[in-house]
Amino acid sequence: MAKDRKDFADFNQPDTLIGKEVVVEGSLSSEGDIQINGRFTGSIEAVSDIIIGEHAEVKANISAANVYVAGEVEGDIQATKRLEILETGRVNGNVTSQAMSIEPGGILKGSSTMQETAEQAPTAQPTYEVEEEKE
Amino acid sequence: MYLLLVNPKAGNKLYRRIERRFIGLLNRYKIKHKIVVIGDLSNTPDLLKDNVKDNTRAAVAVGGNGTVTAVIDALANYNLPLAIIPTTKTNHLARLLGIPNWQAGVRTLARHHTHEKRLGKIGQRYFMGELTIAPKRNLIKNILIPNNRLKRFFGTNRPLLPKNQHSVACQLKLDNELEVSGQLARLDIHLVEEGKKKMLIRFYTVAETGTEMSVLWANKLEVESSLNMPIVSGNETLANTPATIQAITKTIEVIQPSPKTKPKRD
Repeated sequence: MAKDRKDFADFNQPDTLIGKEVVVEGSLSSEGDIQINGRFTGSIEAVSDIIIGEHAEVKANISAANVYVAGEVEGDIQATKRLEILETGRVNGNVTSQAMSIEPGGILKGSSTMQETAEQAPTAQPTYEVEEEKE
Repeated sequence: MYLLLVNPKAGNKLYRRIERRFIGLLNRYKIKHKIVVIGDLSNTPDLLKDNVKDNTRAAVAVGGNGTVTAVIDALANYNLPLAIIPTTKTNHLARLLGIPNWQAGVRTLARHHTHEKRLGKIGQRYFMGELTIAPKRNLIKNILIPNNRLKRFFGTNRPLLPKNQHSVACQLKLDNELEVSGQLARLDIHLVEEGKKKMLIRFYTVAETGTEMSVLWANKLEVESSLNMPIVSGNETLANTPATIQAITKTIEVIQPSPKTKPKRD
């Protein structure tokens, strides 16, 4: 689910939340959303969304469906859907995503690779007539 | 038939003093039972092995915390419900289930209302529901005093303001994967019935603007702190930090008072 800017201020029920004054090291994986407002070192993997808050300092490779960066990230980001770097966001690493946006003021130092959207197979079946063989 | 595993030493040998009344009450409620006396708690698995039959409806721990722990440990390989009849005043799980004394325990057995529960373990003690870890001052002012009826009556049950809260340098290790550190004001641990990770951890740190919360998940949690802090369930201190807390992977069927009825005194 795509998030708006208001989600950064009022993110009521994240599955995993790392507060401002907290320092975390290791590998973090979650089937739900992750929001990081503190310091994190290691690797982060989420099935849905990851939000890097304004005061966050993250040194990790990140993998998720949607990634929103408002803080500092040092590492590669792989977003299967969307990557957003907000005006206070800084990313120092290579990013891969299907869609990406960088707000004025947002910084990306690294290469960016855009993944192609999987093409949908046509739903309508082709119609054709088979001529009966005449004896 | 209920298999009653009785620890006669528990509660200052209370069972010896109540034995006749205890059996009388079981008979009054027409509870078919077999009483097995535990001489040594380490023999509990053997006692279960010898006495569990096809018609055994539940294993009943009659005693205190030690007896309950020994019976739960021994029940790991059986698919039997657990019931608790407390013969001590400090039987923690019985209290959490709402069984204040042995009479209430017998009545609960008679009603046989079962519920699946997730259990957790701190060191050698089991718990269910919720745990709180906090510096003593925060614990007394913010958690224990607001529940004190007398303090509430006199209006002196005011909690500490966030800026006055104590904090202790604390380090958590989650499932040997994550290390979390910060100035802890309070840590709440909830056992959850469903989900991949069984413990929801709320880690409160003191910040300039008040307390900041972090939300984490784990099956096993190791807590270390610069100052020893009590680990509280309800109003009872179960252990002190440093401690290892883990959720038991299997839920256990527990016989508990039905939610609508309150236990009455005999």
